[in-house]
Amino acid sequence: MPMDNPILEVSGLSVSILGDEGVAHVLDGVDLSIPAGQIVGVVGESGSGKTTLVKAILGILPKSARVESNSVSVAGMDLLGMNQRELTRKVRGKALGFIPQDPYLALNPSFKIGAQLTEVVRRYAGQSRSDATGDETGEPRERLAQMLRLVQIPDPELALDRYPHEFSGGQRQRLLIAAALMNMPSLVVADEPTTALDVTTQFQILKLLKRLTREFNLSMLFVTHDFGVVAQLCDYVCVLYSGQSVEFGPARTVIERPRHPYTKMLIDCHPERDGSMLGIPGSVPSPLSAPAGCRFCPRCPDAAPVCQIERPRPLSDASGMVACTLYNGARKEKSDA
Amino acid sequence: MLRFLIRRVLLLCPVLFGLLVLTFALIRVAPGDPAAAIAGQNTTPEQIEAIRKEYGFDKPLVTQFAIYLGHVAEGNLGTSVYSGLPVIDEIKDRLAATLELTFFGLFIGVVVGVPSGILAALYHNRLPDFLFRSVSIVGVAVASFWLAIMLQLLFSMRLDWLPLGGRLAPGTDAPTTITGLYLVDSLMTGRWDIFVDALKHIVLPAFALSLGSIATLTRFARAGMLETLQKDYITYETAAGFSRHAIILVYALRNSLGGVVTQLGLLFGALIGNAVVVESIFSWPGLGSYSVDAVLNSDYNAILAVSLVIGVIYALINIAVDLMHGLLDPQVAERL
Amino acid sequence: MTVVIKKFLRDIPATVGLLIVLSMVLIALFAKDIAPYPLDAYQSHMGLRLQPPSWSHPFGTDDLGRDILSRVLLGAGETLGVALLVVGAAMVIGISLGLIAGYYEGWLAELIMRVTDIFLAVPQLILAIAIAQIFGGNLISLISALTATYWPFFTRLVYADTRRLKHAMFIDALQCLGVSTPRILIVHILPNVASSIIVRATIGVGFIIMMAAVLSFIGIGSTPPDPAWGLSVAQSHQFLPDAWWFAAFPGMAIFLTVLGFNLLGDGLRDLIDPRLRRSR
Repeated sequence: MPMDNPILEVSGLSVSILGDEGVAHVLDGVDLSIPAGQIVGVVGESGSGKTTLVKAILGILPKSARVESNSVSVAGMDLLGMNQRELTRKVRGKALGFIPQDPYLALNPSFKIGAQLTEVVRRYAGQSRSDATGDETGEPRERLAQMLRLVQIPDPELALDRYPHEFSGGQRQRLLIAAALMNMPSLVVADEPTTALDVTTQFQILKLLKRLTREFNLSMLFVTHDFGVVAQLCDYVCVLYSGQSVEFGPARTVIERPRHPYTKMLIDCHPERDGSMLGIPGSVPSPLSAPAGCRFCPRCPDAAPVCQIERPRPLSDASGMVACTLYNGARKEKSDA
Repeated sequence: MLRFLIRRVLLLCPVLFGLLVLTFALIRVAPGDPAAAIAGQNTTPEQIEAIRKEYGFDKPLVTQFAIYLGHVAEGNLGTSVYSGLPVIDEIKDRLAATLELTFFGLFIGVVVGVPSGILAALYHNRLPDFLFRSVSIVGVAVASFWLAIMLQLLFSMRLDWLPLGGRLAPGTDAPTTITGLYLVDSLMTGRWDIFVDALKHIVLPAFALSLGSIATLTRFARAGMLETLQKDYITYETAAGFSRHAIILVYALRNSLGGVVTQLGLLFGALIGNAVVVESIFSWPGLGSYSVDAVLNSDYNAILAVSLVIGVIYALINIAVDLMHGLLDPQVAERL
Repeated sequence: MTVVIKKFLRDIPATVGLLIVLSMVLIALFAKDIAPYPLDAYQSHMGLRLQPPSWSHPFGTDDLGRDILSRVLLGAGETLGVALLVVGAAMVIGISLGLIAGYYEGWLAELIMRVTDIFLAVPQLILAIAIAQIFGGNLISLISALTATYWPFFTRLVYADTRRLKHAMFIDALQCLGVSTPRILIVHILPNVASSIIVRATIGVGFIIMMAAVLSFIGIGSTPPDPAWGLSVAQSHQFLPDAWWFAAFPGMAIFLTVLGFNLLGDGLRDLIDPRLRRSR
């Protein structure tokens, strides 16, 4: 799907991790683009590689990881060419904002939140950037207080001198959101930030995120395992399976008319109101193995012989992208041959 | 904070009481006649009888204990069998000297050991780590009295760089007493010359004492930092854009010092114990050398009094250690 | 079992520690046969006073002309013997009290733990000096004093583990089955605490050797002409700086032995419970 000036451009990203049992191919040739001002959801089961994708973009992969890619760029900056110092100085906290998964573990327990959450802002201070409230100058602490007000933390001035353990999980997640948004990053990367929270809180946080991204015209990469979240929040969705991107498109379109068999099954197994639940038989293949054909083939109800031979070529059209032999004409070629 | 202090001092009481019982019991269960033991050698039977009456050895045990408590409360820790002077006076004169030596030794331990441990953690499994860990392992096995003698041999006797013993050179006067710690007092009264002299005298004994502390603190600082660097909030801080310097020197450091602080209290106890011998090697006029002389002279009153005093100081140091834990960890602070 | 041994042997410092400890044990047992001048434990040769190291006397001679190498070797027996006795006795007292306190809880446990605190309230060396001196300053009083200062370490360890284990399911089951308390303590709880005890005991031997050396330096526990290492170092002091060998070699012996036990203890700890790893 063609896009002008995407805020995030990932092309052909492959990540392998050296472990005791061998080389695990966690990501395999992933393409992803995020248009400016849009929220893109990345959906997948555990083992799909979605967390690795986040780590690759942020540059926090473990030392045992090997990265190959055509490019990974944010706001025009090539991330793969940068070392850790450059990433810290130029990208993190400024071009990239990060909302982590576990609000109970992400905050440093020994420091007041006023101190730790303004750390990055203070480092960038002196550079002209308008913060989220349009205030161009202003002490970092005051800016944070205003941000806390926006994320609906009560008594922001007092909150600055409190420690993380004095806040609930939902509040801590709001604190992390405030921190991520404070510098008006070009792209906010959110790694399943609602997974550790209860359903009601989750709903509120998602509402908040949607409102803030719209209000400040931010772009967001939102990783999740839950299509329900995608439905509530996202403009576009990318479906990840076993380290590969199998479908991409506008959220509404993909949910109402899913094309890839995996997407269909994923949507179907979202718990229904009547409590019925479907599962997907089988399990995600081990990243240590690297089958030749389509990775979903063993679990796929629509599998064809051609699926085992080669990896399905992605087909891009007006509705998005899908990598499946059902759509890319490979079956027709086979039967013609 | 005040509540905590009051609570801790109150909790001190049963332990102190127990200490008093212990010291009381020790002299009573010693073989032989306790009155004679307290009286020492070269005393007449009348003197021994007088002591027996004064301490109430002819009365029931409980009364004896009450008499003993009364003595302690009014500051009477007995008379030195050897010198005939009140033990409390002799201890007072020497306490500051021992505290100065012990604190300086601990100071060296912290200033050398903690950064070493942190560096070892940062260069995990590389050469610096290997070197610091070796020092760690070797340092605890070296006997401080042996190290003291070796240092004295090399730097004093052979090289003549540093003095043989004592706190100050024979001609130098002590600085005006404010704390009793020569290093501190000389700085506070602006006497730089006395400071240098005192420093030259304290370096060897303090270093001999400090090696064990350096070794232990390196080990705990390293372990603490390694463990902290694994934490999720460190990963978050890196991803969020904190500088590596800030993460290590500020955000990780505070979380990694818990083990170090706990060791400080224990090390203080070990240092005071080892100061006993190091002081006698360097003729350092503190409680340690006093104890060694007391042992040689079988001066029971002195030994027991010193144990009691050191026990109290040790307990106070442990309260301070708890306070430090509160400074590091806000959740501990709430419970204090 | 062989897997465990192999894993241990891969840990080089631990293996070095084991070798040192084994060597020390052998030396302690066979010193009289190994030492070149076994009679120098007690005999003096005034004509050979304070000779520097040479082929006939690799460690030199002391102020009474005795061969220092032989005296160092002969001193090993007393050193190890005392340390093992102390640690053994401390274990018996400390483990028993710890088991009782941890299992029974209530006022008895409180009392035991308070007593433990009192013994820990005074730094070990000071307390050992006080107790040893009061009781005469000889070898027996030394052993008693050191035992008295070390048993609390075992009590604390066993108390914590016993309390934890007591509330584990299988203890409840045993109680329901009517198994007698001593049997529960000894047959069921103790084996689970055993590994921590072994580690603590090994490191404890090193610690006690060090303490005994310090005390013999002051003159407690050993009297001349005992070939005790600490005592030798003390005697050497007045003959410095010339007779450096007199101070150096006995001190090295202390260092090596303590190092050996520490390395072994650390190795055992890493082997038994990697979770407890501190400095590896």
